[in-house]
Amino acid sequence: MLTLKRFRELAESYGGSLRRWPEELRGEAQDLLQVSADARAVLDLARALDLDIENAGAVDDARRRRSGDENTALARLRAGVAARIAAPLPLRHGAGSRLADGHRWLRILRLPIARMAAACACAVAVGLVTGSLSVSGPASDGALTALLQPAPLHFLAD
Amino acid sequence: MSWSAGGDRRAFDEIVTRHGPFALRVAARLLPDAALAEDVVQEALVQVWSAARRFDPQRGRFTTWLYRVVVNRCISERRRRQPGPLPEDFDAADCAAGPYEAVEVNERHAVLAAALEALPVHQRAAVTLVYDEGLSGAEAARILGLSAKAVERLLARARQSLRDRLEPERARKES
Repeated sequence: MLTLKRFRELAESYGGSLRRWPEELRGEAQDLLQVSADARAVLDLARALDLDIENAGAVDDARRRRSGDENTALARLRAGVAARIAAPLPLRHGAGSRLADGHRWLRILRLPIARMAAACACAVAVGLVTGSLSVSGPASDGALTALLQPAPLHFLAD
Repeated sequence: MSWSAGGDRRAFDEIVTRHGPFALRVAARLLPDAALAEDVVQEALVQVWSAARRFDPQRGRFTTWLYRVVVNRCISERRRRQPGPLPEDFDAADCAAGPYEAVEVNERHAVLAAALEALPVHQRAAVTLVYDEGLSGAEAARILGLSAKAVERLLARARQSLRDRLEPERARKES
């Protein structure tokens, strides 16, 4: 059975409306209210402050409604969140922490333009290496001279 | 939620649409201005999106977790700032009431707002969740990361502070 002392404590926290009280105590509170005028007086006293708090909330809500931006604020919030989560997430600590901590400059590789530039650089590097491997050795003087001679224009001879 | 944790932006937009109004209302009550409240809620939701994969449904409901992130962010932000002045349109007259009634109502609203504004942030959060949003003490406790008993004490202290602030006003009105 709920004591009047505990009933008063609950009213001082949850106010004069039993719907706010802990569900498991509402039945006992109702029982006490039926037999105790003191309990009823406690609730009546608490209700006055409830009204003040409810009025304060109503004033807040009315002010927001007056500024007319409840829906606008939600629309802004949705747009803002959508834009933020569309951007790439920062690297997480954990599996990728070595990259995140020691090689932060590598984050640039996540940008599409940086990826293209890196691919071009790789292609050029591969071309240089392949080219250098295909040259067997330095050209002889004779070969170099022949190479530097202008080619004969055979169609003029015809 | 599982879609969202898998990176489905459309699913997360659904979550923002469903829970955004609650988050915005709570933030607006805990923080001094609406623009700041929107910023803080946006940060909190982005944080939820980033951490969605780590959410464990075995440990609690998603909404409780989301609300906890929002409320904690608001509490941190409020602690970083001094309370600001009331908005300029705060005491705009109610045209339906006569001039004397309007002044009286506005004075009372101002006292109420100042009394709520003066509450320590955890007390304010408990009042907002239980009285304004209609959550149970147990739900408020889970969001605030406290025991139900602790929330009960916060509410009792908040009500006592409000009573202390409002009583002189009530006595003045009655005399």
